[in-house]
Amino acid sequence: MSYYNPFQSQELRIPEAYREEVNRFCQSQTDALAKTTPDESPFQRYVDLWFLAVCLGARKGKRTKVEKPHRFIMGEILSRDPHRIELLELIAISFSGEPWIIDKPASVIELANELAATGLPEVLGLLGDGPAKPIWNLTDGLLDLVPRTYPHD
Amino acid sequence: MKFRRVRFKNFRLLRDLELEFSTSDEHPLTVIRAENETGKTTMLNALQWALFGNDGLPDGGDLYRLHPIDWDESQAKTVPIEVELEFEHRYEREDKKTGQWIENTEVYLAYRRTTETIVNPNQWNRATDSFDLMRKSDRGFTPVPGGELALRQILESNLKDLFFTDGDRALSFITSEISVGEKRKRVQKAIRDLLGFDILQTAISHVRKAGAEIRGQVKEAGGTDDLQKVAARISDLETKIADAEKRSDTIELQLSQMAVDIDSVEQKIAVASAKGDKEQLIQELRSKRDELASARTLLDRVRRDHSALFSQEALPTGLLSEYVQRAGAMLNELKAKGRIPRTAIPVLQERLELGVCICGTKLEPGHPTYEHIKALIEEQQQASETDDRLTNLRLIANQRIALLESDDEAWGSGVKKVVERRNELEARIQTLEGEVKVLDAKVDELPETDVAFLRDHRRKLRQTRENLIRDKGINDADLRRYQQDKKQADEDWATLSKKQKLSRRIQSRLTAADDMLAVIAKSYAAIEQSEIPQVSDYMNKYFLEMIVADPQQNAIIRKAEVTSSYDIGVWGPLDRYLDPDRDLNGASRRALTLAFILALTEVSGTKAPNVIDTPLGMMSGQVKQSVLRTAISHSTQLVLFLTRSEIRDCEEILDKEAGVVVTLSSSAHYPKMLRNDPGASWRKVLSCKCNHHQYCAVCERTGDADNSALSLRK
Amino acid sequence: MPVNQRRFVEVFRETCAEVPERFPGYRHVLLEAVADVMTAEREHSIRHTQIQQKVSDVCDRLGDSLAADSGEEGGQRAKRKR
Repeated sequence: MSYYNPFQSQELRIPEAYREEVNRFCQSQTDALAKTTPDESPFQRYVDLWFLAVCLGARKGKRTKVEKPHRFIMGEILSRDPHRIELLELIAISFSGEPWIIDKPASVIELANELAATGLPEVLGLLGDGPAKPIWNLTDGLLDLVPRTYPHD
Repeated sequence: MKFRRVRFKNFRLLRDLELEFSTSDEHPLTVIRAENETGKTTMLNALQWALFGNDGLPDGGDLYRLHPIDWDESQAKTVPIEVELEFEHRYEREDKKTGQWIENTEVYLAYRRTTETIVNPNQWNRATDSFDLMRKSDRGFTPVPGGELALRQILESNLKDLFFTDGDRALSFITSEISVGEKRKRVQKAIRDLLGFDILQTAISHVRKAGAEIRGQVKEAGGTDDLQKVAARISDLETKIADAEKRSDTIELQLSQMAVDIDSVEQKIAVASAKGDKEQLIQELRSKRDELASARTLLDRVRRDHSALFSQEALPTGLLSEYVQRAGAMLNELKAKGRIPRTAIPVLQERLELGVCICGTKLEPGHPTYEHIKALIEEQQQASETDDRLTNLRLIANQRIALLESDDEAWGSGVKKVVERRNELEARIQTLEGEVKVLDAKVDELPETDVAFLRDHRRKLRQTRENLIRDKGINDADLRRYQQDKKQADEDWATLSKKQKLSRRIQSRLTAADDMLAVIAKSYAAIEQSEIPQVSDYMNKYFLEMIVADPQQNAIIRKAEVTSSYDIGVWGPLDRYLDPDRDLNGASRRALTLAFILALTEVSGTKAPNVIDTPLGMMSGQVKQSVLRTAISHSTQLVLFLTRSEIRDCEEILDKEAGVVVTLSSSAHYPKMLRNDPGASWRKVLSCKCNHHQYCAVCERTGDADNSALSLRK
Repeated sequence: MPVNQRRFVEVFRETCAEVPERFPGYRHVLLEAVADVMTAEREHSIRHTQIQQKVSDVCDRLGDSLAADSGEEGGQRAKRKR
């Protein structure tokens, strides 16, 4: 089944400076021989971490210009998770106050990449914040951010 | 027999030593106080040499040097060695006229001597020893002809093990270092020898043979063919009967050995099973490991589920709720304003088709209004794809907002489920790891006992026992048949010989031989049947008397027994068999051996000295006392070599019971342990008459003068 | 005699009592013969002797005394006649 994906030919980017650290927390990027478990590398793919960074960047409401971008993948990957396309569009609409911004996919992705640049240090901060393994640090950190959910209910 | 006095000359450390023994019936105990390295074992060997010659020395004596190791060769290359033992011999004889038993006592002197010529420090040549036995008479000691043989007759037994016991090695009847068969042989030999069973048995075979010889005379006496045939038949049957009886005995012995072996395996199985069946444990361990492996696989899966939580829709929905709500609101507003979706196109299309505008104007191609509406429709059709998307987004945003209201759909709920599963699995893995560890340790603990192997061994033993029982059945049936045949042959013989007037002489000799055989065989059976249980009863009595003071052993030991198959066994509560060598402590093992020796001498009526080296080693105060009391009260003459530590706690008993106490000291212990210079240029053993309360110039050891329990004997 | 002489003699005497008194005093002679055999056996256990010969001689002697003392005419009578 093919989904609507206006971002097929857009580049997803992160600042080069975070590249190495991001690699560490993505299973698809770690050496297969090192056999990192999800506990150490909680994200299955690069795009998963990128998208979470977008979310956290959006919550901060701040765009950060991506200096020295690392183009890690094309927007085509988003076809696998249509909800992300929808959310990226909703963020863009909300952030710009202009519904028809969705006619300009490049602008939407540019916004997303800049929000990700803002959110990345947040994600990396959550991963390393605590004595436990990264997956637990991240889980605990995110639970604090997500409203009305376990274990705070 | 009682030792009266002994003199040693140049027997190793015993260069020149004379001791007297207590011969009193009231005080049969002689105590020889001697610390280690003071010639105790040497003295034991020297006494045995005096009585048994080289057979009395360790390993037949060939490698056992007799002369002192520090002999001064400049004095002489050839060393004279002597032991002179004076003893009394009491014996009973029946007065044929009165039928009374009369007791006689004779005093003898056993005098054995030899020489050793030193070739070099490691080599010497020993001359053949010479022995004289002399009997004391009014005119002094006169030689007894055939000295050595006469001595053996007096000794009544050549079992030196029974008279001389080295406490540290006093376990030859019960040690597990030798096989059950060998132990049984030793016990059997001791009993048979001392109770005279061997002599009865050889007598039976000799009388039987004498009968056969008489029957053989039938031919010479001119008996008929028939009679000769019967004689041959009887002779043949007697051989067969003897063989079958022997075989029956052998099988009986093997069966009792088998019973002990099976019992021992049963106990090993029981012990191993109590700890856990290894095979079963391994099975259990394997299944726990499998369980652990699958729990770990499950955990990996849950970990991936955990990781997948970060790419689930619920997370960004939750995180971006504000944005979704804001965007939703904007899109709803557009809808409210009718900007989306655009509904004008179908209306305009319809008007164009009808050719009339809603305002009533006629719409025809080329008409400005018609063209305007047409352009409007085209423009709106282009924008509608984006509008459709916005419409969709509006619906999506509203759905998301609705979902945000539902806890079930919230990201936190997914986390909760995963975390619960993770916790549960991790706890389970931890438990399983603990269980595996415990099982691993248990399996490791049982490296030697393979229950499966033991069971297999038991099965084989049982099979062997079955075979033996079958063999015995067949053999016994044969035996009965031979005995019946023999009875028939005897009757045939009687009939034929009567008919044929066989010489009365042969007939009478046969009757006589048969009568003798019957008397000896029946007596043997009666004695064997009554004496072994007697030895067993006495041993049990003495043993329990000895260990009564040992609460630990007393609790586990109920009874000691010599079985009819000559095993010394000990039984615990619920008739559980205890292996004397494995299940008893050192003190009890010594006590059991002593009890057996005392019981045997008691039942046999043997009046012989018991010379025991280190009898109380490894024993604690109370046990020492009871062993000592029992040994004293059941010995004709008891000679004990005791160290100071063995004497501790037994002083009162010795004060009361000892007829003679002597102390031996080694000159080699000066000046380290011995206080005064013995003035000996060579190492030697010195003796004095000090008892355990005294010290003197000869035996004083460092610290004695400060010991308030000791006094100086002048 | 082997050790525990008294016990042995007791048992031999008891067992002899079960044998028919083939002539007056036979049991006593039998007991003596058994004692002789045991003495010979005892000696043989200490040093090698012609034991079989000795035992056979004892049996023969006992048999001969039986022949002399019993028989068709009756042992005691025969003895008295001599």
